Amino acid sequence: MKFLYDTKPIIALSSSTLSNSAIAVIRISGFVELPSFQKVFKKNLTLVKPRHAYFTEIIDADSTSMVDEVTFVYFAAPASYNGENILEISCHGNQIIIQNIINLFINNFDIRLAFAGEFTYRAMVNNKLSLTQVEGLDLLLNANSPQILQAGQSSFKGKLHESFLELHNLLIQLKSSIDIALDFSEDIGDDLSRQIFLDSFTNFFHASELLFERTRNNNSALLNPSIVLSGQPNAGKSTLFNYLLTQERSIVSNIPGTTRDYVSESISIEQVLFRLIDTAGLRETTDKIEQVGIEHTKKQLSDSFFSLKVIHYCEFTNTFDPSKYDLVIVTNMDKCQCSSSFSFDIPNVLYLNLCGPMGPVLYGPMGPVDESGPIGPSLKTEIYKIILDKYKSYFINEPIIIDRQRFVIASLYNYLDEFKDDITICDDHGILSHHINKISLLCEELIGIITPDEILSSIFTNFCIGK
Amino acid sequence: MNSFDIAIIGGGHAGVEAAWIAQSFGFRVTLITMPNVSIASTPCNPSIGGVGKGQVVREIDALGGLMGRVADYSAIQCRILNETKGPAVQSTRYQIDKDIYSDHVTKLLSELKNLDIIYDKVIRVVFNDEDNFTVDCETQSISCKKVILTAGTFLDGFTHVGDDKSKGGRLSCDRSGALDELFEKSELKTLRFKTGTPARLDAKTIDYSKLKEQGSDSRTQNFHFDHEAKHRFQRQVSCFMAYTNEETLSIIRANKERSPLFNGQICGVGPRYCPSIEDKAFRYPDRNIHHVFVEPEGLNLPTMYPNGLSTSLPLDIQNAFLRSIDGLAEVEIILPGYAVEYDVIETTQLDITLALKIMPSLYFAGQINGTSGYEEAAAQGLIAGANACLSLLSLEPLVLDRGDSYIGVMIEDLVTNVRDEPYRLFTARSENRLYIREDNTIERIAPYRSSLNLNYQIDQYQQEYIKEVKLLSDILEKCSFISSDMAKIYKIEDSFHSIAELLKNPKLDIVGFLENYLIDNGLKFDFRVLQNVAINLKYKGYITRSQREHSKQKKLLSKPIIWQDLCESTNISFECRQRIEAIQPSTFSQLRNIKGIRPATLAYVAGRIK
Repeated sequence: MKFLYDTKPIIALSSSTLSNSAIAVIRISGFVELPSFQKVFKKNLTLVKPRHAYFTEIIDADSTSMVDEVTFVYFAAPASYNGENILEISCHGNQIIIQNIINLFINNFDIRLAFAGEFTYRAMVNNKLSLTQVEGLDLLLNANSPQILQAGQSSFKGKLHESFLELHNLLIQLKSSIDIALDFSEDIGDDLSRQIFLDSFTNFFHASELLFERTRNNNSALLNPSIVLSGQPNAGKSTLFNYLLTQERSIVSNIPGTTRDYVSESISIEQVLFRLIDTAGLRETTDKIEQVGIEHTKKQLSDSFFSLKVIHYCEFTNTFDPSKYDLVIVTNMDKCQCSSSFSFDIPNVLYLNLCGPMGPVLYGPMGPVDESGPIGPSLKTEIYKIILDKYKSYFINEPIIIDRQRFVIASLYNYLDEFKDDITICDDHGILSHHINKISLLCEELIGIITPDEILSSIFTNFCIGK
Repeated sequence: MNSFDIAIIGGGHAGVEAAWIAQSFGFRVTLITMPNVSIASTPCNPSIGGVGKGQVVREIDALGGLMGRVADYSAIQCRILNETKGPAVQSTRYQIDKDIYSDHVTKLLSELKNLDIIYDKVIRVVFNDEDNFTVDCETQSISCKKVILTAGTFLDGFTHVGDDKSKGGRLSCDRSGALDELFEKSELKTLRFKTGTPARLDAKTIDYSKLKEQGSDSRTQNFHFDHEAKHRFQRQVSCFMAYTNEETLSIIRANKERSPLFNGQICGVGPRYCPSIEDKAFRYPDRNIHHVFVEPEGLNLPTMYPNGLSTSLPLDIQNAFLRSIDGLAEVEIILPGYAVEYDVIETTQLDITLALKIMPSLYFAGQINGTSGYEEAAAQGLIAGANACLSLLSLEPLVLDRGDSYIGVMIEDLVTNVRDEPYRLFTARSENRLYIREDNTIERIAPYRSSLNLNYQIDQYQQEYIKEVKLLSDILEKCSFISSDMAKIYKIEDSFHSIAELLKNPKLDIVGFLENYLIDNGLKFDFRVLQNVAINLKYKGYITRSQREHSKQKKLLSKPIIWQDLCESTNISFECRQRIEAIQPSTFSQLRNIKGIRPATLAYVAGRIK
């Protein structure tokens, strides 16, 4: 991530946008001193203490008319969110007032509108937040479930950051070891510097390997989890889809192949937002459009968080393996003449009638169905519980590693794995340095940029350098 | 009142390079230098070049500078550093005779008809108008259009030997006033730095039999393009290696309160890469053995320079700890070690041409910019001198890219960051070590030299050189025949597409092979060209790859993106995809400006732009 912004003071609306609200918060960051804004404040700004709230009027500098009554808090650098001087103004949340105040500052002072994410970017530049923490904040502000929110909070507090910090330190050691061999070989000696290099590389490789192993156990689909319904044509996927959404969304008919492309809707299960996807039935077809639909289905299946197989009881034979799916739903049990041949104790299989009086109902050990609906646990509750159990199980261990990080870790590991032998036997330090630069570029997105000054500092701290 | 186009204040390495290049443009130039301080003197270690610095000396030479030719002329011991670590990272270092160096520069400068050397002390610089200065010295005043300030350590300099603190830019030398004395009402931001140097030892009082000798390497190649590669102008001598011991360090540790560095007498910031022996003693309390390189200061000079023992301790303690070292038991000090504190300017006030942003006719170069090292100073002097001329001619300034020169790395580092200690070039500072080599310096620098539009012998040489590099590269890319004799000698059995491909073999002595190959085929190329081409071919794949990455970052912002693809990516959050769909950005820069786009999204997209 590289912003090539200037360091001018910036202003932006920091609370929610677009609709009018009771209070809006406008933030200004990076100015030299608070009293420079005096001409638009009624209050004497030289008397303002940091971290105290004041009530005053904002006035138009030219007409001296009042723009709004506001409260404001001044955070003095470096003890602020991003390490710069920050002024937070809480004004009335009317869009016109907000715009007037922002314009007032831009027109009267050398201030520009902030780019998206720029306050946080500056926090990162000023070492107030690490890249990982910024990402945590990102999860925090855009979380779509309580669990993600928690993951965001814990990585914002630095848990995930901590786990990358080790990699960061090892990379500094690795980069230093090359520089020791090249820039300071007269101080350290060739044999020792070679040993330092090999040790640092081994340590770094090991840490990357562990991280790579970890990412493979972590489900990437968690950030945007999808529940994918699949099954043979006319098994009843769309009926189930509509039932779960409680709305007519898919076109339902008894002609196989009715759902030609996948249909996606959001459903909220205990505040977790899922995408529910009804896929085209998988079958051999010559219909071009249907073929495309089937391709989509295959992709959705491979990306899914939760795979739900819908299967007609006739197909549910001994050759069918339920363990390949998160949940299997066997349909049309009411039409089944020999239900006694089913064993009803496979954990991830539910049996149901598609056409109960109130929609699909559970069939089986719960007993018969009377006129008013199903007896025993509701079908929906049962399905939701199985989905949520899987979702929650992912958050027991550690903060999730988001996709971007997973991608970086994988490319890092692959590069190291590919060049490991080259690197350990090569004595051409030009080439070694090329590899280490590449590795460092790969990590940059994960742990931020390591500057030459950091490397040199580390060398000067740990080794006696200098003739 | 004498008037000049350009006045350079300070006759050190920065000053003489600035003067040398400026007069070559045909301008009237004056170099004002302190009386009783010799021109281009080397008041610290008697060597030119080193890791990274060797590249800089060659870059200076390729730009038409002075340092390379004088270093060759005064070299008395030559070394190749990092020799076992591959051709890309090798560097040249010459021990030089300090007197010969300084005399030779003085002689070369005094032969120039466009240059007047004024031995005087500058009292004040008055800015009258754009391109109009008056420089008041003690005995005269001159007027000029551009001023280049290269005052080294003389700005408000103070020297320290124990508690003996005196005004001066060097021991027993005068000092110049602080910046606000030189420029009335100057509001420039300055920092206070410190540096130090060891005692000079009487060469006759050292027992060399107890030290390890290091001779001169006859294979080292000269810096200057017009000098025969391995010709030596002076008699070659040896350097020696000694070691400190427990006694040495305990003498120093016992006298902490008498050290100006540790008793509060010195407040300037010293370089961590060049610590005094006091620093080493207290920062590494468990370590007692440190290298000491004992280096001759000249063929006819009575002094040796004990590299590694820089100090500002009182004279009696310097004597005591020196004599504890094996081989130095009876050593006599001719000049004590000392520290110097001096003012430097915050270089973020300069632009990339080294001109002061708020007064672009005034340039700063050398140690006054907070750098250390003769080579760093000389390079800045040359850049400032050339840019002062180009500005007078209203031509494009000379700006070297950090991707193809250490000079470019240094100047960009200087003007973009406030330094918190003296700045020295390390190869670690470059992202591009495989390309910024000594052997290909002319290839890297020739385009910059030719942009100066000068016509000297060097310019013709470089044109010819570039042509030859192209020609030889072409030949090697296309030829795929090798005589059976050659194949036998170099044990080449497999088939290959071209000689260029053969040169990628890491086990092959590529330069030696290529030399023999050309002889075998009756071809003759300059050795420098041959070496340059051979190493280019060896690293070609790596260099292309890393340059691709370098330009990728540079061009990132203007790169097109396909927003439709982003909208389908599961790696981008739903909200971001909605925003992307609404705005339909076509470049990365547009994507970046979309309100509410998350940093993670930008990072993700940036990582995938082809």
